[in-house]
Amino acid sequence: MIPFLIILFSLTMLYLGATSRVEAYIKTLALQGVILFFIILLDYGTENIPNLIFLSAETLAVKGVLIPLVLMNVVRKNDIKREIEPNIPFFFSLIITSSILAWGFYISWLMSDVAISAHPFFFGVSISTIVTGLFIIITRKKIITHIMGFMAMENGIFLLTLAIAKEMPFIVAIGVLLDIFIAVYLLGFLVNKIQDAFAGVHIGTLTKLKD
Amino acid sequence: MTSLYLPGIFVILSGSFISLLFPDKMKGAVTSLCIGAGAASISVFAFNVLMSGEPATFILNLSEPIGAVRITVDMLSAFFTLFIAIMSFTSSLYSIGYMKEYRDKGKTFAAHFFFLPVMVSSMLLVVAVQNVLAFLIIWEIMSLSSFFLLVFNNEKEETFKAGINYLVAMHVGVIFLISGFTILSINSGSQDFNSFKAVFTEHNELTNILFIIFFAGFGTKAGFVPFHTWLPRAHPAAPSHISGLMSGVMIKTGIYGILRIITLIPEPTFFMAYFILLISLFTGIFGIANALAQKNLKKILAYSSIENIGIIGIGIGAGLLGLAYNIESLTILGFSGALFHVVNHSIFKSLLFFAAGGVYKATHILNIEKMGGLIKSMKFSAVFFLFGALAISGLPPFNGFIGEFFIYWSMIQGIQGGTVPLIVAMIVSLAGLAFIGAMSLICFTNLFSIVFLGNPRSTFHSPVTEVTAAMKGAMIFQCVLIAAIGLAPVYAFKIILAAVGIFHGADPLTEPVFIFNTLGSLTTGILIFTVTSAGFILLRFLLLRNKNVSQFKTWDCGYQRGNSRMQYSSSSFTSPFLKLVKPLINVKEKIREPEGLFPGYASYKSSTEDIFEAWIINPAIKVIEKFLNLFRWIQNGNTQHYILYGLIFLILTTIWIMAASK
Amino acid sequence: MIGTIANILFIILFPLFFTGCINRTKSFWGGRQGPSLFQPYRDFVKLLKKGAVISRTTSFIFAMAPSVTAASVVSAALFVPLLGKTSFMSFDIDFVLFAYMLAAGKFFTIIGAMDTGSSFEGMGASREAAFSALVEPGFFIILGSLAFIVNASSFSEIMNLSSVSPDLRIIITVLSSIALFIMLLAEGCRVPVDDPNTHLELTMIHEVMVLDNSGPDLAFIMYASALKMVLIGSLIANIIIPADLHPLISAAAFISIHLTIAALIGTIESLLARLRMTHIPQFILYMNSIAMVISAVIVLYVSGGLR
Repeated sequence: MIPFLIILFSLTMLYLGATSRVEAYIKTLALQGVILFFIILLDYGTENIPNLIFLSAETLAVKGVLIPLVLMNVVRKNDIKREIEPNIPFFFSLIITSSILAWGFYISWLMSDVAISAHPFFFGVSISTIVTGLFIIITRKKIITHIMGFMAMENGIFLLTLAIAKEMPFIVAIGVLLDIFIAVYLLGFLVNKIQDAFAGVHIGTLTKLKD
Repeated sequence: MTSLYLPGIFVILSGSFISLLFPDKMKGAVTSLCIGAGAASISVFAFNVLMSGEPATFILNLSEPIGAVRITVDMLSAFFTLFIAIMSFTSSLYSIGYMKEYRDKGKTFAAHFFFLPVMVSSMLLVVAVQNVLAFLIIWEIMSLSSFFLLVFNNEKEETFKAGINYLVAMHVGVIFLISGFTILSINSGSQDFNSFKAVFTEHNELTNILFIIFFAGFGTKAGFVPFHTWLPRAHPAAPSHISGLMSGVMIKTGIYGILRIITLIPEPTFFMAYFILLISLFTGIFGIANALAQKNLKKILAYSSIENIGIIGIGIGAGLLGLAYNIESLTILGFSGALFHVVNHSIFKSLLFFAAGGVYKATHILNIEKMGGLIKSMKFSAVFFLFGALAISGLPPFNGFIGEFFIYWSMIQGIQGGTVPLIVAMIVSLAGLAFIGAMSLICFTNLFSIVFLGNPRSTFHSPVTEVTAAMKGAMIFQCVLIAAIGLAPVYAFKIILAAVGIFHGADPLTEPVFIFNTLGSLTTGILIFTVTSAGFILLRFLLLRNKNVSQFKTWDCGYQRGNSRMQYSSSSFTSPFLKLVKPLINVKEKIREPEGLFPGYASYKSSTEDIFEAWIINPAIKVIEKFLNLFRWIQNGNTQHYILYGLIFLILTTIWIMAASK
Repeated sequence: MIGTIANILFIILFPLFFTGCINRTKSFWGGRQGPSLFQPYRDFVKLLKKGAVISRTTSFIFAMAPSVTAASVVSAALFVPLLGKTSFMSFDIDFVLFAYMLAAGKFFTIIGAMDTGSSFEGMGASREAAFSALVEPGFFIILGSLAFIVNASSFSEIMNLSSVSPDLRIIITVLSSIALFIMLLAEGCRVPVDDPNTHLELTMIHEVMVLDNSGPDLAFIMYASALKMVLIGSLIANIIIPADLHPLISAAAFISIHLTIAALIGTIESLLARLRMTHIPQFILYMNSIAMVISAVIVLYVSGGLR
């Protein structure tokens, strides 16, 4: 069951690479949160029940519900609909995202003979998720999509920690939470101010900041 | 039976001289007669060799630098000899009708018909000779005679430039061949090909480098990317029967060279196999993507030849992988697919070039954007072209499908039998071959529809007439071959199996029963398709027999002022797809947009250039030119200076001799 | 024997019923009663009885194109496992012949459309050619990977996934079904690739290629496109249905999966809009990416990556 969920996760990353509707990005991130919730639930075992409850609740609540709601709010308030002109046309962006996924699978294959206690799929898919998140940041022009790419990277790192440490230390979980909160809060705060100051959430205008 | 071979070649060669004796009107017929007679005897001989399984050897003892020349027609050579002979004959048959119009223009045919049999016999000899120097000499004769045949229309500057481009490209290839053969010769001490087997066994580390050198040399003749740039220039410039001959037959001698080298290497390496596979995949995709972007009828066919060479290379790569990984079914199926495609391509590509020649004769233009509606007055040519288009897209029930089927089969065998890198390579080539096939479907539906269907997009100078009987005869023969191989592949496969046996080296070839069984079921499936099509056509005829069938104009959504220019053009047809493969094609557009509410003049012009020519070869040529310009002063036209150069050389030589003898 | 007769009846009768189900689903979503489930049969017979109007621009190609297309789809049906997981004929890599026979039909549809000299039909033909080129690689990758995991290569054997471990089976079944469903939408010319209701410029792909056809030609084309959808649906059904069921149960499951697919197509047509023309290649490429994922999963399974 778990490999199936991981594959589903990778398919959502493919969708992120190809779509141009900003609300679709947010819904995909919510879906990723739900998938991660199920992975924790199924993979954890019955050792540390309170830890399990905390992690799964946090994942579902924060990644699956809270952050998408906040982002959706920002998007609706600023009336951001589509990412119209990325640096690379969407067709080639999908080809490149698929190649990144293929490369991730290749890494999975390389890891398959190294004895890890977890699924090698975890490693490959999470690496490709992180690189795809970076790729989205590089090729898109709106700030809000950059934040989405960053969120995708966070999900990838989370998946990676699930792979390496069956027992995830409390501190790492809190660190991840804090990270996310700061990003979202600052962004929500900033985006409102940027809207007033620059009339448009487009990074082209940010280059005016250079000397 | 062996007495049929050398006299056959002699008869063909004599055709050159005999044709000089006859007036222009009969030169074509006489040459065809000689080539036909020679080809007939040679084909019988080759067929016999293949069926009996015994190679035939002749030894000519020539004077010293060349030494004893061994001509051995073994299985591989017999296979190539067979189809070279047959296809050359069809080409010369076609030329009888095609050249008629040039005679009325007052061109002389002497040179052309002199070199035609020379080229044919050199092609026949080059696939059988087993001595290095003789091979290179005959290879050179082949290139030179094809050059002279190509520049038949040399009053046009384009043609002449294309010819020179071709000549230079061939000689760059020959340099690679000479270096490769020299290394082999020096290491083995003899000029005979058989002695090279020992070299490859002893010097294992040389195998990869030598293979690359030979691939570069033979690949230039065959048309693999990046050595292909002469092809799209040369084939449109040549007269149609020469284009058909070159594209259908001559580039296969490059494939023969690669296959011959493979037979000399007892243990093919993984590097060789993956190298050919990757380059062929790229060649196939690049070739057909560029074919989609062209507007010149013959250039499209030329780029499509590049694509088909890619497909042949994929088959060779699969076979090599079988040899390297030791999977017998992969080897047999891969090489069978490649050899099938070699023969199939020579048949349907020459058919397409001949049909294109008929179109050119009728309309005197090669720009397909100006054509259309030719099917009304050229029914036969349209049907021939349709046969060729269906065959080249690899569709059942014709022969192109059989070759591709074998290559797909080899890949599935490779997937089932191998290790992970092989599986990944096979899956990638599976997708690649499917993609190439689908692209060639786009290309040839485009070509056939724009040229023959719909309404004429411009007015033609003279009324459009059908081709002459000789031309029709050649094309009918090719259509029959296409249908025969497509509907009854078993017989063709028996011939090919005999040729594939050579790749097993010492292993005896066990009868692959599973192939014959599947071929039987495949043939049944294809026949069912043909019969069902005929059945549905008959059903339609019966249904409409007593009904009211009226004629009206095409539905135009109420638009009153439509004319034939409103039809879809070739650029429009291919543009949805071309947008997706932009990195491979360099499209330059010049647009003058319509302005204002009631626009006046507006124009759109697009042209494509080959990216390898534009980004690699042309800059390289510029650099070389700049360098060589520094030495221009040496050639200043003053005769006295030239005599001075000779004197200086003499003095230097004398000094050197004096120093050396000390 | 009974199986063969049942399959023949299936091929002749079911495709038009399939179309009827789709139309009925669409009318349900539209709040209408809608045409009867058997209306496509009446339309088919009506068309067969009619005469034809042939355009003056066309030639014999236009006359034979619909017949050859219908013949190609019917011949392709020989190899697909139908009711009870049996096919009429099967041999090694028959799926190549299947794909290429469908391509031959497509070739004739395209040249038949271009024969009319109309820019409408040219537009549809060029788009159809371009999009089908994107579908082919994915199809072959999926079938190649399935051939690998099952170690056989004809359709009827590939669809028999019982030898595969359950973990892998779920992944393969779900992913292949999604990919083949996208292929169904692309080849059957349904939303979101094409809108079968209209032939306006925005949505011109398949419907517009057959604008000038009438009478028996149009009947053949209607039947051929319905049969093509049923064939691809059969591939999906065969992957889902396990191999060791009693023939009657398997046949019932087969037909119910088809009805589900018809309902799903109808629902998607009612709820989604057609994609912008420039986004369609991405949608089809998505199928290729899923195919790549399937093959990567299978390769990893073999090399021990999936425990």
